[in-house]
Amino acid sequence: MDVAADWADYARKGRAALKDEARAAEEEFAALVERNARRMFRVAYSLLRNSHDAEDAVQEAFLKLHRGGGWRRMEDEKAFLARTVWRVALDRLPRGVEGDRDVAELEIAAKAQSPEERVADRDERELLRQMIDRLPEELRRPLVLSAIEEMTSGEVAAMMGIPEGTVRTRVMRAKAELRKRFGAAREVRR
Amino acid sequence: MRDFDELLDEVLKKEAGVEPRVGMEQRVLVRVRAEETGRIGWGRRWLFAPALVAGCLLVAVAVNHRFSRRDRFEAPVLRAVAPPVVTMQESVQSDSQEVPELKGAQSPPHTRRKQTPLQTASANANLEQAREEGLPKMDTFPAVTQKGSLLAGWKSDDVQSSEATQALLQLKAEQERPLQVNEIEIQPL
Repeated sequence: MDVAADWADYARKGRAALKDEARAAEEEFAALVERNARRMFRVAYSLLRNSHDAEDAVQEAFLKLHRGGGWRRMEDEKAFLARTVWRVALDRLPRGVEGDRDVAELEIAAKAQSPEERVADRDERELLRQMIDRLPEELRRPLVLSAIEEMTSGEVAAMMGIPEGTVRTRVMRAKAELRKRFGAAREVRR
Repeated sequence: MRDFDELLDEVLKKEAGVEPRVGMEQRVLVRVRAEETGRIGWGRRWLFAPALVAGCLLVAVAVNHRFSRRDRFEAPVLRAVAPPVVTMQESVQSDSQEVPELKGAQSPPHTRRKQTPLQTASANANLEQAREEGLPKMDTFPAVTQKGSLLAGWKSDDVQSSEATQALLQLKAEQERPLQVNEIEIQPL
């Protein structure tokens, strides 16, 4: 009888320890979500440009992390999570959009659509936002991502899978392109 | 006119600082927990799979055992012998041979041909001949029961000629003879 009681006690302690461990892991994961969900949402939004899609991407990214247990082995938490949600968002993009569009082609399209003429009477801020949206993806993505708080050009480069120097170059090109178009629009408005 | 760089930073800050709907973190956690619960539930359901398989096996074994017992005590089935089909060519061949060779119903389909009346008559003649020679055989038709075989064995033995049998028959005849009872005479008192 004593042996049976000892075994029952041992099993009870084991179950309690497992429960405690599971509860601790759950709390740790909840803290991870609290710390990074918004940042991940912004990363996904910069790619998908839709709040619902971005939130779905964040949820899917966390589910993948929880299933695989990869969140326990992260070295650089922010960079790892940003890369994860970036890949998930890329998968959720409609086919044909995930690749960067040709810059020259988009410039021609922008001139043909003449956004300056359509939004001449709108606020300058709205005009600039539309111009950012019309930038080629290869210029728009690094520009918006580098504007997200605490996102360095190195992290953006790692996330997009391109060299850090390329990120900086593209950000500069994007700003130059916007300055040129914005100046032209102002001239039209005058 | 505002400075372009200042305006761009402002717009980018707004663009990059977009806020999710309220309670996104809770929704993420709820979904993760729901998936975790569902996964555990399925894991527990898999525990019942071996028990289900074992139950199915038991039922299959029981059913098989029952049917095998029924087959064991089933009465012997009489197998009908299909009449042999003999073609014209085979009939001619059989005429030239001393022992008629019958082609059974198991012959391959490509050797069968449509029979003419003459072929049918020849086949019937061969069948009659085969019947005269003793077909069908007794080992296939009719089936002899155990009782019948015992009766035949008793019949074939020369028991009736033995003395013991004669004595038995005599005794039986005496027993079957009607009794002669004398009339009872009652003396007057």
